[in-house]
Amino acid sequence: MREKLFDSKRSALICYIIPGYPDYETSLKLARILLENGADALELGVPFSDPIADGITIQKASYKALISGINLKEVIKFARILRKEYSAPIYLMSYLNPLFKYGYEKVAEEMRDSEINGAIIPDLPVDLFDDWYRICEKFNLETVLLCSPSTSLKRIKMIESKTTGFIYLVSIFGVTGAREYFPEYTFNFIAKVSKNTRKPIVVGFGISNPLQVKEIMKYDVDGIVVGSAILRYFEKERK
Amino acid sequence: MKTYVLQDENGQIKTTYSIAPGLDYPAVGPEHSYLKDTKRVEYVSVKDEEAIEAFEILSKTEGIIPALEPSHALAYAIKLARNLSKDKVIIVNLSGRGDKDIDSYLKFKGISL
Repeated sequence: MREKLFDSKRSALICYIIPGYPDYETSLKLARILLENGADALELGVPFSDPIADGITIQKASYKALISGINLKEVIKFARILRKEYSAPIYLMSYLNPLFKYGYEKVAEEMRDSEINGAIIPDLPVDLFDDWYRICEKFNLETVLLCSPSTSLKRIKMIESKTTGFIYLVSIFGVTGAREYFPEYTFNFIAKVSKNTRKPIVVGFGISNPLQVKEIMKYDVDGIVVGSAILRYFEKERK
Repeated sequence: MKTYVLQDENGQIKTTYSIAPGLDYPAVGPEHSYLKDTKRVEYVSVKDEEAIEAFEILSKTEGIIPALEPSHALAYAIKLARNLSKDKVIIVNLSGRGDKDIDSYLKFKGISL
């Protein structure tokens, strides 16, 4: 039996937004709307100058938030505001360098004080994870590691051993961004990880419609992340 | 393995400029960071004007057009040689040829053909 995510009986919907996009107040409002209408958890994107795992939607949004002055500190503050109002899990999605520059210890302490559950760090591979792992242990934060369709079973086992939160499955070879459907290999990959781990698994990248989610759910997945699709829908509605 | 990166106080990577395209990058290979930290290598910087001047000197004196990347090294070698006795030998790794950089050179000098 796999461990359950957020002690939930059903799979979790994790929504990704970027504090400061399209502006600070609106993003705070968006976070509240999501949490009050079915989001089980939030993933807060920390704007970064070199978002190597992100497609055009998040790249643009991240850039806009970045030039408006949003940085790691601001995102933590944003989470603290939400934490006073909601008990849902909140994760940071940050590339490594802002965390590294801020200092692992300092950022982890502030995350703990703001009751942020953990950080998703797409450019920190499992081979270099030990320092962050120790800090998370010390400050009682969850660790989240990513794997992709090209990750070997041996490596998935390594990833599992460092995971205290959930394993984040990157659905495709490529970057974030809403897609209509997934290639066959996505499902083979999800099935492989699902069968071989006891840690909760969450699928992200490219999820934009209920049909995709239905397909993914066949593989006993504990949660999904939706990001670009929310930002895109939100932009459309604003217009 | 970590490497040195040009960044701001928030860890955002800075945009870069160099007249040599091969140096127009905000980081270096981690080997260089290691060599710096172990004090095996001492790293210095060279300005555009100095690299261009070295580019001209080697072209005129040896008939070899150096790439703009090693032109930086040549510029420093010339500077260094002034402070050394004549019997000292300096080795410069001329890592590339400058045919590819003629456009950049002409642009820098404001020459149009």
